[in-house]
Amino acid sequence: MSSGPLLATREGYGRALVELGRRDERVVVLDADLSKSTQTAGFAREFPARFFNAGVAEANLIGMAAGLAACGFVPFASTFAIFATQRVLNQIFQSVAYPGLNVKIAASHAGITVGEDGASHQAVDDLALMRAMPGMTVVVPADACEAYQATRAVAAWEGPVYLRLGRPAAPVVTPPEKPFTIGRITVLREGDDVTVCACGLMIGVALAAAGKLAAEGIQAAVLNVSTLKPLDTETLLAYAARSRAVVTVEEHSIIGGLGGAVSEALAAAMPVPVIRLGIGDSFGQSGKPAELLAHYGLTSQGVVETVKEAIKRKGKGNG
Amino acid sequence: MPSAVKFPAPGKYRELERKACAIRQDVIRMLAAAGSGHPGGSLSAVEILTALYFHVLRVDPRQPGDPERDRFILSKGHAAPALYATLAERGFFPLSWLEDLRRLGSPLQGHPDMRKVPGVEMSTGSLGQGLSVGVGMALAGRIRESGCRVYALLGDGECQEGQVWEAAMAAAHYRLRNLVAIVDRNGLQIDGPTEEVLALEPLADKWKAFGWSVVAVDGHDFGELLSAFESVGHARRPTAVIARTVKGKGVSLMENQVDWHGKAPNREQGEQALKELQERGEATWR
Amino acid sequence: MRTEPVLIGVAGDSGAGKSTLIRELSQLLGPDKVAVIGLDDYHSLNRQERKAVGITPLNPRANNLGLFIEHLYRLRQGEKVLKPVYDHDTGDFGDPEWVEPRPFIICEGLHPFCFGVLAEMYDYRVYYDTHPELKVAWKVQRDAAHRGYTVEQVRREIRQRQWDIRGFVEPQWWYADTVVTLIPPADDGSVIGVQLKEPPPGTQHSGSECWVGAQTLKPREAGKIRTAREWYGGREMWVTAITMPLTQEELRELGTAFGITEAVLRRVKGEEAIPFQVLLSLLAARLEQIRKQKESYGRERYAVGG
Repeated sequence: MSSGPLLATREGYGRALVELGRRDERVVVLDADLSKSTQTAGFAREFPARFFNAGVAEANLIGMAAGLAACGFVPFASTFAIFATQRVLNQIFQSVAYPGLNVKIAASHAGITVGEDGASHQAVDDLALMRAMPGMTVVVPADACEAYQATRAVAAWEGPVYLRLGRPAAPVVTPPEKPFTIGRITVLREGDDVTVCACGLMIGVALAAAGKLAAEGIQAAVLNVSTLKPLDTETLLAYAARSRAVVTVEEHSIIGGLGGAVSEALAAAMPVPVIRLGIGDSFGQSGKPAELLAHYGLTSQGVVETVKEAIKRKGKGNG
Repeated sequence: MPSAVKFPAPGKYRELERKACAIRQDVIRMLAAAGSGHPGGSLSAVEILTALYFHVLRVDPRQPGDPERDRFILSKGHAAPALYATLAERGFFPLSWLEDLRRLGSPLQGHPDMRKVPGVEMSTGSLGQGLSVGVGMALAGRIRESGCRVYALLGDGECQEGQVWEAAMAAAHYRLRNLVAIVDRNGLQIDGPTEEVLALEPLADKWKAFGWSVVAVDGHDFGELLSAFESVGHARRPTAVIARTVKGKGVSLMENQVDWHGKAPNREQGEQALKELQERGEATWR
Repeated sequence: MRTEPVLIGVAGDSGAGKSTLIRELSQLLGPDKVAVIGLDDYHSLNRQERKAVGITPLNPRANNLGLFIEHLYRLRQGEKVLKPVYDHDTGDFGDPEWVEPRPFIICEGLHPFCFGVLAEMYDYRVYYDTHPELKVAWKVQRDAAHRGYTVEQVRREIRQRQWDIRGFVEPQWWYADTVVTLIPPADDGSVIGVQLKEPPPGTQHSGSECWVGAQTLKPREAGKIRTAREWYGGREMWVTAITMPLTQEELRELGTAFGITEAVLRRVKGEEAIPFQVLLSLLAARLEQIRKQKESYGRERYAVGG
């Protein structure tokens, strides 16, 4: 549905870092031996004195970032999402979130689209973990342009941030010059029959599904929930009120991520049927990224079917 | 030629010793009032903290945010009572705060909280993380070409945490000569002596192997401690000061006792301890 | 028996204003009574050699302090010494020159008393610690004007010296009898203020009874003279700050507390004495008292310690 170059969100991040490095001498970057993959290598080349490789030592990575932040720098700490969250959860809590330090954890290779490396490298619970961390802001840009803008917004934001980036190149849907506002849902498509909330890579999938649904006469609104925490409940509730059925789709477990956030917000204020599409309480596995997405039902067809199911549930029970 | 070398005056560190005694008394009082806390590891660190805050560290209680200041991280966060007492005596906040240790709403939380207490550089409590933060701060000092130094106090049991060695590797890799790690080697941890639970020796060799300069001192002797800290000026690599200490030092009931790691003295024990500290103190200065 | 000279050590970073202090002090004491030795003359390496080795003059290793001790020792015995000479303009050594023992010998530089043994040789030790703002301002004036540096370059240079200053120069705080800091003018005044930090008697290393010190001043927070107690360099010190010019009356009161004699006070001309002049008279008075003691007791060596 969208033409144009395919770019990975991590590429947008890498480019933004270099820009930031040029404008703001407080920005420093740390990595854990994955800078070619996370795209921090560009910054490292241009600003070697402000780039620190922690090596294969993620706990120390977080601690170093905390120390730099405490001294007034704006550190971006990058590694694969699974190592940036699960592995160092206590470090994030003790050294970053609890003291409220200005550390930006920019985690790449999130979700199952990591591909062939398999489960050990596929983070399917990082959003859940980061959402449950008090004081943490959670940002999931949809494409490379949004990632570029989001990185700049994150640098300007005061406080700990988790920035989720992915491995695969994906179509760009965001206009390049559009500034990123943390905490705001972007409405990509209007529709009154159902509200589809998506984030990250799944935005493309959601838009494709909306196209298919439109051909069948179902009008789906597509919301880009690019900030999971703090959640833009105002927009969410407005659309939920109109459509009375919500579907969430994320490259993440259905427990605790986007689906969890949306369910929590709606259950409290506007209980409507919510169906969460994502990875169902299981680990990832090896495979080609496209194959894996199909395997876990994270395709536009999967969304279409889920939407129809959600519409069926409208009007039954509360809502 | 005059016979006695009068310079320096005898009792060169008398003032520091006096301060250390006052801090020990504050610690006992605080813990007795709170009814919980960690006396053993707090008392073993008193001379180290006194030497740092009253001689070595370039800090000013009136300017706690000075970017050029030295940083001290209490990586062994459970020794918070000793840190709080030292900071209060040094003038970072009123001594009256000490009586509210661990109470609901008090700035003096069970483990140090940098947002609540002036003078605390990092929130700690979960072990093994302070040295990493120290590495980050030392790097920050290096980027800024600052003359500031970063000191981190670790427990010996804490050195069982892998992250400590991640940080040690990084510090040597980045040649952080402005970073000093002090290990409070009191030989005990919660489940028993360190060498029985998970042997640390040869500890000095480990730090050396990781590329650090190692100095072993008596952790209750100001002369040795200050000499060690002085040597940092000539350092070409990060320095590890392994300070041999006695857990619970100063209170005979608690000295070298595993049980006094995390148990606060009751009122009687507290009073007995204070009496002992006061008497010992006076005897030293007579 | 000839009276031993009064040996004075003045330590502090270069560009801090030491030379000005010493020049004015010499005037007060009497220029023919004072000999000044700059420790830079005792560099062991010239600029080229230092560059090759990779150390700055701030490092004691770049200075022949052994020779300096020997010269101090001889001067104290009443012998004249042939002192080396270092030329800052060329960065190399010139021809040595004679220094004769005079009633007052002031040794100024980066390391006049960086070792205990060396510190013991003096009768009085001043550590000169400039406020960073002033140091930047003066250095900018000096270096920017003469050597064409920008302000940013000067600031950077000052920052880069900090590690060595911290390691090699500042530890001399511990041995100082007085720490003098010039402070930038406050908003309401246009005068550079002076702050004196001294260890209380009994805790002083020199333990001399010849001055009383600031503790007899009533502690006060506001006004021209402020006193407080502060931990500094490992000791609790009495801090006296004089931020504005003092009248003769106030000077006399301060003088009593610090032991200034009338004779020296009278030398301070004018209605008001600016803080710098007050500092000079304090120092001059003490040095004269030390001299008097040496003369009256006729001791071969003024024993330091107590």
